[in-house]
Amino acid sequence: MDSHSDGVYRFLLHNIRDTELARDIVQDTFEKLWINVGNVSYEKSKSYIFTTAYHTMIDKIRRGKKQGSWDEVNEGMHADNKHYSDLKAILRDAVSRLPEIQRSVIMLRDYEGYSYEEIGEITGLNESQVKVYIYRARVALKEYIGSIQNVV
Amino acid sequence: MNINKTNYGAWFIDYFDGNLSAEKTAELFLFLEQHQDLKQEFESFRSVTLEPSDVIYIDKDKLKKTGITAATVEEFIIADLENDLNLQDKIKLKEFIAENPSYKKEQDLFRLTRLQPEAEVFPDKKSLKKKIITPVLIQMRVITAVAAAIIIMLGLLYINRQQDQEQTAEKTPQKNTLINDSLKDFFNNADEIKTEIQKNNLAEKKFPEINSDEKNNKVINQTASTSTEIFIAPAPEKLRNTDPVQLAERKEIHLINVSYDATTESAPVLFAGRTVINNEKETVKEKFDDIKDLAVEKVNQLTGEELLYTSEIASDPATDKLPLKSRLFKFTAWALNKISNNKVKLENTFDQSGNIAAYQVSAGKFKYEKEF
Repeated sequence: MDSHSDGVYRFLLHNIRDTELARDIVQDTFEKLWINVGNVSYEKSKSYIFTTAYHTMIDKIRRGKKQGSWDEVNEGMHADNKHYSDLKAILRDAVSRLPEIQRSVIMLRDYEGYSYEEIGEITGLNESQVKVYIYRARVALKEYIGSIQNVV
Repeated sequence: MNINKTNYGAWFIDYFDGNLSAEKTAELFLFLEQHQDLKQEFESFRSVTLEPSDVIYIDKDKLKKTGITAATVEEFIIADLENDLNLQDKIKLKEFIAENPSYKKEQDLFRLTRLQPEAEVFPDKKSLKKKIITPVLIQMRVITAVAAAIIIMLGLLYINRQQDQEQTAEKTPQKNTLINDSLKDFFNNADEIKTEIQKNNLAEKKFPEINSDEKNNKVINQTASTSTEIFIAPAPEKLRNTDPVQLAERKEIHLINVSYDATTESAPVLFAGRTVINNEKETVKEKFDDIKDLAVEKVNQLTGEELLYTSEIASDPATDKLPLKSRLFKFTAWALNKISNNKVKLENTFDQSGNIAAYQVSAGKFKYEKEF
């Protein structure tokens, strides 16, 4: 459970860049897990946690967007005047610029090592859509990294 | 349907689509001869017909999966990064990049897009564990089991005590009556009773001859169902002046009625021997069996199973020899383990004589010890 909580926390944090909100979602997710613990097998628990966290996050993002608070967050995320200390920071910034769905699938793929099928289960996409989003995300990240490297 | 001013358009289309029969075609041209003003419109339908195009798709390579081209190389590089390429395609990609070194940089850039695991950890893991339902249920079960065990133990001890009290209450007045009335009477009339026995030759028939050393002490009652040592009046000299009540209370003597004749006549006899002890054992065994049967029924109700204590524990001959209290503890340990599914354990320690010396109740980290 400890490793799952770290994984899902990282996934949320990199998606929404809000520590408190990420923690809230982790709490919500585990609450839902314990409520449904009788229906979730051990093998499926990680997938259940990520699926629940993902959908909770999407709900909160959409609700936040309606309320306008997310505009500020996104504004901060898209600030251009940045000084990059290393590639990790560049990449983190590049990921933050990805569309929501691309960001999610690429993080599930790289951070958690999920298969296309598993990512599809979590995000509600089919396998082909997952592949397409990963492809687009890689291209976007590559272009961003390339452009920054050219500038630097 | 014949051609007329309202439907000629459909006839024109059918004609140019080649859908008109020879007869209908003849009818169409007769109609055009009769209506010269429609000839121009008829000709305009001709130009609507599309001719086959010779346009071709030039990027057919892009549609082929196996071919690596400038247009598809990105896709292959990403597939390679995702480990989706088979060995053959991996070799093709390697060869393609070797032939087109400009794509090497592309490939390197794509490699940089792989996100590396980060070190962030969820800071408050304990808060997630607080809401675990399963351990709470387990805890509840443990608590329930402990409570059930305590109730059973107290119940057993209470029943035991109550039965003791009932038996004491029943026995005491009778015993006192016997002691006060019969025993005193016996001591006072010992010689007379002896004479009575001899007169009826009962001693010869039913008792062995009393030798000189023992004549005032004991005979063997062979009429009794079990071999019983009987101290028969007159009592030993040293007891003569002792209050029989005290003697009885000190268990040095016991008073029973022993039939010494085929008739219903009986006389009080002093005795000390195993019969009494055997009788007590039988009573204790019956008492334990009653309590055990009741408790097994309760345990079965709690566990929802048909558990047999006898087959698991009581068949052990060592258990059968233990005093009642020890057997109760042993039974309670068995019942507790069954109810709690071995989550709560009661361990008993017995001394050399089989009496309970100590017990320990444990449930997870909880432990309670008691020494007697």
